[in-house]
Amino acid sequence: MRTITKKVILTGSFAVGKTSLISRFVYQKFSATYKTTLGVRIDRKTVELPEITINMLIWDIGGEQTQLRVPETYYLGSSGVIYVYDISRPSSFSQIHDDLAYLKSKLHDIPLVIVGNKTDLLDPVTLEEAKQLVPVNTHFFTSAKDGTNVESLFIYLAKQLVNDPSGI
Amino acid sequence: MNNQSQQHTLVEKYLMEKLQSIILQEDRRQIQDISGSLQNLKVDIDALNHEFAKMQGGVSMLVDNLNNPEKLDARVSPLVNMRIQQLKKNFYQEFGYEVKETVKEELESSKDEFIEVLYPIIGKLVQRYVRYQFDIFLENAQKGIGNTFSVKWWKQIFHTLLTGESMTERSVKAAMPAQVEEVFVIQSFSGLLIGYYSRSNTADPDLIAAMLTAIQNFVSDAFKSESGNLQTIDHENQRIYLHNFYKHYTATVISGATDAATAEKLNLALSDFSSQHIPAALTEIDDSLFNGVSRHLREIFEDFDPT
Ligand SMILES: Nc1nc2c(ncn2[C@@H]2O[C@H](COP(=O)(O)OP(=O)(O)O)[C@@H](O)[C@H]2O)c(=O)[nH]1
Ligand SMILES: [Mg+2]
Repeated sequence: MRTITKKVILTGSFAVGKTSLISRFVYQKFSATYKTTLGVRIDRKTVELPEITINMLIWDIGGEQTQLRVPETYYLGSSGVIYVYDISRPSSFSQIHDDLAYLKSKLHDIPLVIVGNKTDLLDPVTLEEAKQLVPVNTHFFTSAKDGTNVESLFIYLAKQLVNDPSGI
Repeated sequence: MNNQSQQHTLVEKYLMEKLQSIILQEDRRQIQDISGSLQNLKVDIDALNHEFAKMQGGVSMLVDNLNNPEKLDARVSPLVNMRIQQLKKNFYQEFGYEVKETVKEELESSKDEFIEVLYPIIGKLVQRYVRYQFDIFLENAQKGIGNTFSVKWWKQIFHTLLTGESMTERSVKAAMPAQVEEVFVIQSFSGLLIGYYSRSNTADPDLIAAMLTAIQNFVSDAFKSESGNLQTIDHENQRIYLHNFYKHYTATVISGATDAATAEKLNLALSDFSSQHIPAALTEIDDSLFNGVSRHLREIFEDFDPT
């Protein structure tokens, strides 16, 4: 089976659960105690689709208040981007329009997956109310803690990467 | 006086006496009571006087303290400190909400200024930090410290770069002849591995390529105004040579004693290699491209003499 390699950016505000989502996806566990001085953490995960295998290099960018200030070159050459916010904390998506505009200016026409994480922190009623407050369409509501939708999110992205007409 | 009247008188007298004694007794008791009370009152007054005297002392001390900042401080500080300790313990419950809201408002209303102020400081720190790390690498290289080439070596170099902690394991080893240990051909920006050669299998080369790229990005960003790109990274008795081409770069790991010609010799070999085996338009990196490039790398670098 053919294997292709792709770079993926994982971004979003501080403490929304980016690193936890990767830990859950790559290592099947929930732990978030890794911090780098370079402002990026890179993990690799292979996703096997029926026709093709995707070797994903995931760049977990940010995790600081000034996440948009990491070297701009970190964004270059990526084929997909996952934008994460924290559904339990409205302030984490108050900047979402600006953040997405910035990302779109850096990353031309590549698949963008928007994720609302930490659903486990809200009861079903509050969760529904919170969803109404998010000003953009969210592709997946996840929980890195209990694993909800994490696998689906990355498989969805993998499929988008295969269809990616722009190449790299 | 008749008998009856005498008797009467006696009775009267008796009664009178009795009455008197009763009255007197009452009086005496009353007097005793009163004097007891008076006694108590006196005691109380004495005590009050005493208290008052003490208070007067206190008041004059207080007045004295108020007029004397040092003394006031000595008296007040412990109380204030105690209150501060209490606050520290209970601060969050007492003021957490207000503070959070205030900070949030402040941050939101002055986010730009905040970043403007902080970013140069952080930038400088980062720059200093990177310099410091590379100084450490250089120093170690000069000490001729060696290690067999291994997964461990890569782990250490990244660990050192990422955390700033220096490695603990060092083995001193005589300088060996220079040898190509690994060659990474990496797509610029994406950091994806296009081809890879290794004498001995190492840690995940995909991850190493990506991290090397992040380090390059990071360093060129931090040194924006200055010299620019990294050319070598030294660690123990290994040296990583970085060569930039148009759309890709290479990282070549050499063990043993390199010399001044090594960089140029590698540059020539890698330029040749690139023009022959790396497609000009790289749209997608798949396993057939990777395997082809890697096979050619092996052919060239298996017996390559870097000096
Ligand atoms: N309850 C809950 N906590 C989470 C979830 N994801 C992350 N966290 C916690 O949120 C904090 C920030 O997570 P982290 O992954 O470091 O966020 P990052 O800054 O976006 O990388 C950590 O304390 C995590 O344990 C989640 O899905 N549910
Ligand atoms: Mg993080």
